[in-house]
Amino acid sequence: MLTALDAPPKPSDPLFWTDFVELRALVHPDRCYSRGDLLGLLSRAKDTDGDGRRSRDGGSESGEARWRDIAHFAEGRAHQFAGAYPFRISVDGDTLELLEATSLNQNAYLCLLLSSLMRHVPKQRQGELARFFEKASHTVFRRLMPEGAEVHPTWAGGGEGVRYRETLYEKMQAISKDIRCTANFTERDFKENDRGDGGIDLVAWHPMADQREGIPAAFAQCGCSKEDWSFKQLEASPTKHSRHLPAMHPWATYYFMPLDLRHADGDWAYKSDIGQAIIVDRLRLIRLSHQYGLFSEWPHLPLIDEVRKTEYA
Amino acid sequence: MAQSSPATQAIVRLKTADLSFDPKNPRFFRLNNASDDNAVIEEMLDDEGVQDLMASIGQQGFFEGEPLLVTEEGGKLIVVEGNRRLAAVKLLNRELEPPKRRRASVEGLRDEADVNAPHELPCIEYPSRKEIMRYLGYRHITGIKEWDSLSKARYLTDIRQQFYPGLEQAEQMKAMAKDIGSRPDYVAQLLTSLGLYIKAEEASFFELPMEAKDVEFSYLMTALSYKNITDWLGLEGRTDVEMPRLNAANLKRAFSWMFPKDQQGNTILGESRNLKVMAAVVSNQDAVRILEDTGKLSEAYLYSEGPEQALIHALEEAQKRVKIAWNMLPETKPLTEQHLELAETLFEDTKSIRNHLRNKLED
Repeated sequence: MLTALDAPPKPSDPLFWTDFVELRALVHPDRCYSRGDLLGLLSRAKDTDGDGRRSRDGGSESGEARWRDIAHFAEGRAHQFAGAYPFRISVDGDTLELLEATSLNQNAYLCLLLSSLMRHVPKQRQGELARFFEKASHTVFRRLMPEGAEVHPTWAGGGEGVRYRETLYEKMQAISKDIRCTANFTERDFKENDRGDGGIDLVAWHPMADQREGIPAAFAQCGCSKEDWSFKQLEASPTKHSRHLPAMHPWATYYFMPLDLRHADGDWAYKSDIGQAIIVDRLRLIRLSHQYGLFSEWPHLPLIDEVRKTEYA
Repeated sequence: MAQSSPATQAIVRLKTADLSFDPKNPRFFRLNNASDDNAVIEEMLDDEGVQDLMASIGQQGFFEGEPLLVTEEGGKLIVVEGNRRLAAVKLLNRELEPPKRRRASVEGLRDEADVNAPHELPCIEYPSRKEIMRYLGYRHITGIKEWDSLSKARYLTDIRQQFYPGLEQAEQMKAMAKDIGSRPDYVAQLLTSLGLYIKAEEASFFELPMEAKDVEFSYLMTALSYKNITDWLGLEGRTDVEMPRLNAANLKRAFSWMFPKDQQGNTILGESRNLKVMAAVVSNQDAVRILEDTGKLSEAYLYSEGPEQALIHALEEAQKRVKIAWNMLPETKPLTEQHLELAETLFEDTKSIRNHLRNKLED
């Protein structure tokens, strides 16, 4: 049911390759993936991929170096994610194994892993994965806001209780009221019948026990793409919206992503691309959910059950 | 005096149960105990991809033309050359069992085998290890020269015609994949690429200024990895071997961009990594038209999502770069007049863009 499982990632960073190998271990009939499996795959890939990998991974030596990076990175994840990490590296270092019984938090890890690997998910199923990720982010975002804060999603299809409805213009008007600023836009500033979210997935504010302006607020955007986050992170920021929503105090901007955006040494990967948004990546999502006991509140993702039944060697 | 080569030795058939792995085999340097069959089997499955070889032997039997090279040491018949093949056979004939974590895939390969696993193998016995050692270096370090992808595709076409003409296509791909220890979709992609090549060859390369030698077959293989390109060519995907709905006009376009060279020896595509750009271009008719008019891939790419989107991308990219420069300011010492001049130029250019947009929108 998954696609392009023989197409390894384009970027060379171990974080992407480790994700790829974890997915291959997840769907392998043996529920593990080894150095030998990777070398075989790289050998085939050099015929089917002209994107520069021919020279980088053509030889077995570079494939072995690639495996060493992956195994090292996976060991780091086992340490950082602790009990939520559903894989282990074999004692001899040549195999990544899926643990037999996966707990609630390990299942959450697998759901985030799959969300990071959208390119392997058939197009018709990507929507449910994206919505799962938004809902999981909502669960964590709600808990991050101070007691008494109002936290609302902007996406459609939430039934009667949905706060932001209809067109983007109407949603933005409602948001301006909630964060207590005077909307500086008119209907014609928006595309006709635009029902999108304007780059804002989650809205939070604290009413501060009165009706006056100048309240703390936060907007969040959620995104699964491993390429788009560097510019999407600012979609919910004052940089983009302060002209339309001239709040007395700028809101905080969060960007939720399922990627494990770290180098092997634990520091942020692509640090220079991180702008003014507070990034909540896989590690933060898992650790915060553990800290606040949120795993039982995470949405169910039927897709992960189907993937776990898949067999692809 | 000249030594006798392996080819001059007699081939004998020996029972696999009497054959032992070579504890001194360089493959096993990582193992704590290379005399332990279980450790060897685990290494073979995890590190040496012996599953591919199991699939191949299970499909077509053990190749008699390549005997194992054996010598007696310490009362045992040691396989100095052929340990991987011995492991594959011992797993297939159930003489050895895999480690628990590899049981599922090994059982699968045993079930799928069409040929009964042998219990005897062709071997050449040597008086001592020394006489075999010197032959191993070339084989395992430099190795057999791998065919290029066009050669692989032509070989598979022959195999398909000679051995599997009566099978359904999916079964053909599966059988050939097992033969070569690979995957059915990889085999099908090779054959689909060859199919495109043959269509072009039959059409005299569409009378384009090119010859067969100009075709870089790996570009065709790579191009098929992009869905936009397979859709545009009228293929069901990268494994559409029969290609009943092939769009010949678009195949001609693709060839004209990929292979004919101008006077400087350049193609429109340039290099293989630009296939990604070409995939974006073919998804938009305007972009294709621009490419046909200008012969410039980068120019056509700007139109691949329409000019409106292209402008948004360009502005977003600029915004990102400005942000990076802004973040650098606190760390940069000393700030110079050159920095200021560049910032002022940037400011003026940005203002011009803003003014142009403002004027147009007000019109």
